[in-house]
Amino acid sequence: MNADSTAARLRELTAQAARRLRGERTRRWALAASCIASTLLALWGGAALLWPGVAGFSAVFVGACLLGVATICAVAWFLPLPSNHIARALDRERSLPDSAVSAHELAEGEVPESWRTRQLEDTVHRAEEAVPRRGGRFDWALALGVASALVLGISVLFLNVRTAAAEPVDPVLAQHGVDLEELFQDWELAQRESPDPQLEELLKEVEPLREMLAEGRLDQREMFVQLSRIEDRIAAMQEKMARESLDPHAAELADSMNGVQGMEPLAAALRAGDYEKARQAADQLGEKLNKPDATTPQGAQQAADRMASAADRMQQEGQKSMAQGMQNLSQGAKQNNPSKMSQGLQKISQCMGQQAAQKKQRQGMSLCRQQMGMAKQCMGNRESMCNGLSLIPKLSMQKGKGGGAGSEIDLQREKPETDSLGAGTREHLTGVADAMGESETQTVSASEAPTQQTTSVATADFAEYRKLSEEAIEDESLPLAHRLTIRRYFESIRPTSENTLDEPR
Amino acid sequence: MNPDNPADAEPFREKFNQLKDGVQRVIVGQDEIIENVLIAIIAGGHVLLEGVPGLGKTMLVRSIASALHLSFQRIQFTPDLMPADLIGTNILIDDGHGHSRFEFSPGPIFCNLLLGDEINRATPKTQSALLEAMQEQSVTVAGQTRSLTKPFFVLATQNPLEMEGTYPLPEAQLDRFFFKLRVPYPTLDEFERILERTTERESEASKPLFDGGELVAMGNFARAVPVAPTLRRRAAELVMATHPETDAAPDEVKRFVRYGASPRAGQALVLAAKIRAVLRGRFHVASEDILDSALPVLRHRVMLNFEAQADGVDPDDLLKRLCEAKRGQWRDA
Repeated sequence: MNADSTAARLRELTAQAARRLRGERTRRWALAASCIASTLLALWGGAALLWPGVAGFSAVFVGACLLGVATICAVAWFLPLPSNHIARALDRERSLPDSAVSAHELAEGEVPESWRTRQLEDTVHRAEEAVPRRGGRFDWALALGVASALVLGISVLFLNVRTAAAEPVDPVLAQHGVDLEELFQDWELAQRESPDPQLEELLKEVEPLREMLAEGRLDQREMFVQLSRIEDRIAAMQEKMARESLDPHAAELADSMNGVQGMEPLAAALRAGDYEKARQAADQLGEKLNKPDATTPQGAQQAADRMASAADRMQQEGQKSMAQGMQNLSQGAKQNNPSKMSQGLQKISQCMGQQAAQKKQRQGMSLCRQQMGMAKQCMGNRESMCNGLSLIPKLSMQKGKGGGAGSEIDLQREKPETDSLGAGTREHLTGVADAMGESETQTVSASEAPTQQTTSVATADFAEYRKLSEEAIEDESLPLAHRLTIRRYFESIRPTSENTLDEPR
Repeated sequence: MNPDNPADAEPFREKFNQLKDGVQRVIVGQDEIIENVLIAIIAGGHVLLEGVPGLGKTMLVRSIASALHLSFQRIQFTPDLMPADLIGTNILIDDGHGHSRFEFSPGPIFCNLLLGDEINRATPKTQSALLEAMQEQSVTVAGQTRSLTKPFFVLATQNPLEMEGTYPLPEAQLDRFFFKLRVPYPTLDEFERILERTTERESEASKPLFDGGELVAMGNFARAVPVAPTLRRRAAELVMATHPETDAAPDEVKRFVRYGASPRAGQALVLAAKIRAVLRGRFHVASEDILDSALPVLRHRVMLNFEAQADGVDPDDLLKRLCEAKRGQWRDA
């Protein structure tokens, strides 16, 4: 065997060793990666067991773990190995006394050729005589780690699956989910009937929450967080709308119109914050002043400066349309020009229309916020939701079967302050008070008979009413909020042995 | 024996084995001691033999001298031995014609193989007289330096038991010994054979096999054995690991060692490893050659501290553990 063939043979042996070394490295890294992946899976599973908020095993997570292991295997196989390292591996594998390392290093050193050749031959001879050790050393610690992690992972997975299967669904929480969904459907219905950009935005905001509710992925805490988030969003929207509102300046505007003949209704409506009425008043006065024979209203010239001042103020506040209207009104008054005043009133009318619409939106937002707050409160008390509010007026006022006629205060009023109650909208239901639907009236008079008898009559009546109310609740047309209110009402009047008809209900 | 011809490794091994067999015809057992002494001699080093009296230390050295056909001198070191007794002195010679002249009378050190028996019984002054001879292979008397005959080897013995009235060798002198060998007590079988060989008939004497020049040639051949950089580095690592002040030193060394081995230890380690490699039929030095040479090379060069002496720590045990640690480290590298 000449020197070249000896060197070629050593290269071949080294290449074989390199392949085996790569394989060994890949196996070792794969084991370590599997160990880590199993531990991660086990930790995830454990967390899912301990904290219900953590989602269980997902295909994405398991897939990512498998992909990670596969990537590590690929890197371990393709990562280049230092030649010295391979030579050492060859020595180890064939139990050579540092022959391959020496051959590798002496090939480049200043060693006499005769010694180098002889050493190379000796190395090849020894390497070919030696029986290579297959598989390398078994890493018991690593194998034990992998096995433990796998057992742990599988146990946790099994527990997780069992727990998920056996875990009873919290009925109150589930009911809250249903109630919230009904609430959002209520919002959707209101949006369809009367499109409102703010409500539309809000509906987009609640979309993720609805998805999570549909998948049943929410626990009580997470629901609270989501509801608070929506509540904050509503607050931000309300704040923005409040900045664009005329409410803080309505009184000032009304004062500037004082003493002008024909402007009293407009001023009164502004003071009352009733922008719809204000719009109508402005339209009526504008039409009058637009006639060819129209004259400037009395007192207008005296109020012109006040109106001009109010216009400036509106300009500063960013209410440009209103400022323009007031400016025209002021100039018309000064110039004794009813036509110009009419133009100003048209602009004011447009502005009032916008304010009326915005006020409605604000009321809607206020109600939504109230609903969120009540939902949170009910959730905290672990009660069913019972806000008694709906965004749809006709649903709010819908009568149950056999219900009588009546009136209801406007629940959508933004600020139900006692001193401004008179200014609130009061809607009257159609129909005649006497012309009720199917209903019965029964009068139970107190007699000298023992109270026991009266109580039994009341109990019987209660049961009948209760039955009727249950039927009404089952009726799908009744809004959610009202169903709960009805239930509460009947709970509050349930007769007991201590509680007799002596006490008025 | 041509150092450029690796094929001469075979005659090298044959001669070594002949020499070893020749000594073993006289000395029973002590294979490892004989092998190490021969390795040290081939490397041109000196050997310190430590053992209790009667183990055949002197016989061993005498046998080697006989087998090598070398001039042999034995000096029994005693406290009253003076340096001049060792290296020689100028004496006044009367030529018989009324004139006198100083003439150098060489001491017993002028030989090829010097056996210094119980070297630790001599005073430091006398011990230090050996220093120049061992390292420079020359002696200086009255300002005149005289070379010793080559090859020159010192094989010294010392008794580890009787410490009273002895002068432990200073570190500088210990470092000049290539190997320090501990001569063990013979096993039962060996003892039986010793009794048989020494009490029943005339003891066999070893015959001269080859001269000192052949020994020097063997040494030169062994020096040509190549050492891969990794292996050279390992030898250096092993020596550095005996230094407590370095990071390479294990905790035990840091705790018990006062001074580590000198660079001479590294030289001795590599030289001895080269000879072992040839004897094992290899053409390069391997880790096992270095580790097998470590104990005789390092044991007298590692100075233990007071704590180690108080705790009765044996440097051999310390070094064995160090070698085992290095063996595992190098195997997994």
